[in-house]
Parts: sequence; structure tokens; C-alpha cells
Amino acid sequence: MFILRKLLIGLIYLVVISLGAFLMVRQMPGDPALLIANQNRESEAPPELVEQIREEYGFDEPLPEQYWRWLGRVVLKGDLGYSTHTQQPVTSAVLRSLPISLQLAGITFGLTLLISFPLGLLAGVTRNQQLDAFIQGLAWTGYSIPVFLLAVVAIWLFAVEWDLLPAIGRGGIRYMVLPVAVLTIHLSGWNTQIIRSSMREIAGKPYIKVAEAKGLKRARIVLIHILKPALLPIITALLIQLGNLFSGTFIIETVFAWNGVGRLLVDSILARDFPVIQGILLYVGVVFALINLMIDLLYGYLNPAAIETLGKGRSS
Amino acid sequence: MIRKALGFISLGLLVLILLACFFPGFVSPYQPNAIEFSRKFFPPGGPHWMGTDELGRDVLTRLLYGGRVTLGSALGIAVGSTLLASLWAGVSAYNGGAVDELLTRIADLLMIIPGLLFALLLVSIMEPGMSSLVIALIIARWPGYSRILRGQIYSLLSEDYLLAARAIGARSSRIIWHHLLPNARTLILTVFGLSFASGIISISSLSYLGFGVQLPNPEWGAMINAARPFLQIRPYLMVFPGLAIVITILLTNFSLGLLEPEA
Repeated sequence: MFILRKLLIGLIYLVVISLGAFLMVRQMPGDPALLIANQNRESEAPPELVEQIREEYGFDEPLPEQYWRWLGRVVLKGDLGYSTHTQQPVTSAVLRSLPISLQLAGITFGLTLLISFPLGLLAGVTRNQQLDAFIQGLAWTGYSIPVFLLAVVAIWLFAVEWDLLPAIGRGGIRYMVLPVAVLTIHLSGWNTQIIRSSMREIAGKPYIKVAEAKGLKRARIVLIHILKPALLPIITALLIQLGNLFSGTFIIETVFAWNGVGRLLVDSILARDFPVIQGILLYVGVVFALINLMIDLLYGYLNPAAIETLGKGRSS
Repeated sequence: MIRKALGFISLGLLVLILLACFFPGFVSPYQPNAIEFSRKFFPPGGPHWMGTDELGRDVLTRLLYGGRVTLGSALGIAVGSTLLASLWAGVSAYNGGAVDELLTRIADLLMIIPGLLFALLLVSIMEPGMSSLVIALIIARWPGYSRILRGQIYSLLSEDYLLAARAIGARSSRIIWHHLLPNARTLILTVFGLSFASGIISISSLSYLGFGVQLPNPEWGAMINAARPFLQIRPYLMVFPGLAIVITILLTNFSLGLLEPEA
């Protein structure tokens, strides 16, 4: 029942996103049939062709009818139309840039876990207040400095001043160091903070006092009694953080001239290339709908009582 | 004690910076867009405290006028999103039941796409310009703040004086405006501070990418973008606006220490 309700909400959300995407392109000035007819042509398309396309795509029908046809084309054929700028099919442009973004996001996310888990764990259980404050300060610096600024400073120092690494573009592993490092520093700041507060919350519970009073070893208390129950809230919170990862990648891709989805989006918005924006909106919408569904299901698993109150907002 | 002192000093400095940005004439005699090729790339010092850029424009002056855009927009975002979030959270928590459910769902729906990205998508269908950016960021950011506030207001609702107010027949709007929101003041101010800092980050990031401000008008993120070709010969062109961003965020964060309860 709970899962069904969540799926239904996810479905409603997808309909809203697709409606938004559909209307975004329809509000474009100009005759859509003419735009499509002129794709990949040197000369102006003949009027018969324009009429034929109008018929085929149903542009002379009422809007709801058009929406259904459009949705059918998108879902069944993966046909997202053509870029008004490069004249290429939108689907292939998105698919071409996708691996680049996934590579950046994947490597960064992995490294972030390696850094933020030990730091967050340490800050969460240490009794040394200076150490805790120091790690929190580091984390704060990481997430408070804008990603683009961190990236430009990194380019200035490591590529321009000391000439150690290439500044922009893609190539071997040397080209990956700066973008990945900058994004990792930023994201580790967020994640360290999350892991620390999850650990603190559980470390303050009375049963931890009992465990200490019983004389259990510190390592056992930290790993079994604190970390284990904190793990699922941490994973859930890390999933919520994926939004930050995504926002970070589109800035990093633009600064370092990587042709990923983020840069494609920024360029398309600057060029007002609506079919491409529409394609990316759909793709991002679906990805985050799935992530959100995962978060909700994890919450339900985590705390069956939450199922009753879900929709009251996730408060952690 | 130290936290409070730091908070007061930071808030004072922040106000000074804002004043300097909105009344730049008292600090600098130059015009932000006045091109003077004979004075290009003057290093910091002398009559140009922060030097001049590739067109001979005074960097300090551009920093002040740019701050007007960056900090002014961030203030607009903070006011707009905090106001909207407070109202939404107040109405939602106060009514409870189906209204609460519906309002919370709408807010949740808006939060699924990451904020900065959502703002960008909104900007793409609006007129280019700074005000579109501010409006888009308000729309993208308020649901998150509303979620924080709603939980807090919910716990305020169980207080006795609210029951008393209701018992003597106070109207809903009166209870929300006169009882709930004033008592949630600390929290609302904290959200205001956080949204101001996040506004500085969002505005400068999007301006860096080329959205919002129209050239040649200055803005901190746009200034950093314009400084990139000259990183090798004139790094200060990037360093000064960069420091301006980091320092204002830092001061905002320290100012928030004033709102924390005495230990």
C-alpha cells in the first residue's frame, strides 16, 4: 500500500515534469512544423513538406492531443526532436554527453565517501572538542566556497602559476585531477557534516551511556552501537545530497570545458535551444524521480512509523 | 561570549560592506564602466587601491557596484524565499490535516530537481536579466526553507498560550501573525541568514556561467569570469572579487552566531 502510494506520487510527478517540458518547447516563437521541416536542409522546405509534417506531428490539433502524441514519440521512440542550434537529434546529443557526466559524478562520489566517512566518523565520536571544531571548520570551508571560485583558484595555482596540470579540456588522467579534486572537496564538506551529525545524534542516546558503563571497548561501541544504527540515515542523507553533486557537475563541466550534460544544458539555455533543454529536463526529472523514490522507500524501511507520517516532510 | 562578540563585529562589518556598495561615492571617485586605455592593468596601490582591469576600469569601484548587484540580489532572494517559506509553513502547520498534506506535497514536488538546476530551467523561459534570476532562485529555494520552518512551527503549536488565544476566539490570521511567527523569530532569522549566504553563492555562480547581469555591468561572479584570461599576468583581478565573495559569506555565518542561545 505504502509502495503503491509512493509509485503513484512518482507517476504524478513525472506527468508534471513532462507537461512542463512539453509546454516549454511549445511556448517557443515560430511555426514548429516549419522548424522541423527546415532541419538539415540548405534551402527553405517546400510548403507541401511543411503541411505533411504538420499533419504527421498533429500541430493543427488541440494542445492535449498534441501532448499525447508528443509523449508517445518520446516514450516509445526516444524521439526528442532536433536542436535548433546544431540541427542534431537531441537524443544523440544527450546520450553523447551522458558518459562524461557520469564519469565525473561517479569518481567524485567514490572519493568523497573515502574522505568524508573517516572525517565525519572522527568528528562524530571524538571527545576532543578542538578536533571536532577543526573538522567542522574544514567541512564548512568545503561547502561554503562556491565551486566555480574553488575551480578558478585551482586553475590559477596548479595550471597557471606552477604549471603542474592542464587547465581545461579532456585527455588522460592528468586532465581529471583538478575537476575531480575541486568537486570532491566541495561535496566532502557537505557529506562530512551529514555523517558527523548522524553519529552525534546516536552517540548522545542513553543506551550508549549504558554500553560505556558496562565497560565495553570504545572501538566496539563506535562501530557496533553507533555506526550500525547511523548507517541507514547516513545513506539516505547522502542520496539527498546527490542534488548537490549534480549542481556541482554542471558548474565544473562548464569551468573545465568538459562536454557533459551540464555544459550542454548551460550552452543550450544561453542559446535558447529549447528542444535540448526539454530533453535534459526530462532526463534529469526521471533520474531525480527515481532517487526520490529510493529515498522514500529507505525511509519507510528505516522507520516503519515514518510510513504513517510520510508526506509530513522529511525532517532530517 | 566570544561567539557573541564575533557575531556583533561580523554583523557590523557586513553592514559597512553593504553601505559601501550602495553608496560607493564615499569610497571611490571612479565610475564602474569608465574605460581608460591609458590606465589599463595598473597594479594595486596608489590611486587605484585594487588596480585596474584590461580596459583601465578601477577594480575597487567595480567591486562596489558589483556588490550592489550580488548582495542586493542575495538580499532579495533572502527576503522573498524566507517570507514565502514562513507563510507557507505557518499556514501548513497551523491548519494541519489535508491542507498541511497538500501544501507539503506541493513544496516537496518543487524540491525534487536540484535547486540551482531548477532555477536555471526557470531562467531559460524568462526574460534575460537579473530580476529573472532572483525570482527563479526564490521559487527554487523556498520549499527547502519551508520544510525547516514547518517542523519548528509544528512544535510551537502545542504551547498553552496558543490554546488560550484560540479559546478567547482569536482569528486564524491573528494567531499566525501575532503568536506563531513572532515566536518562530529566531528560526526565521536564521533561515534568512542562511538564504542570504546561499543567495550570494547562487547569484555569483550563475553570473559566472553567463546568466543574469548584462555586460559591461559588474557582478562578482561575472568579474571572476572576465578575469580568467588574465590569471597569469594579473591574478588580482580574480583574487579581489573572490575574496569579496568568501568574506561576505564568512561574515554572514559569524553573524548567525548572534542568534544562538547563550551556552
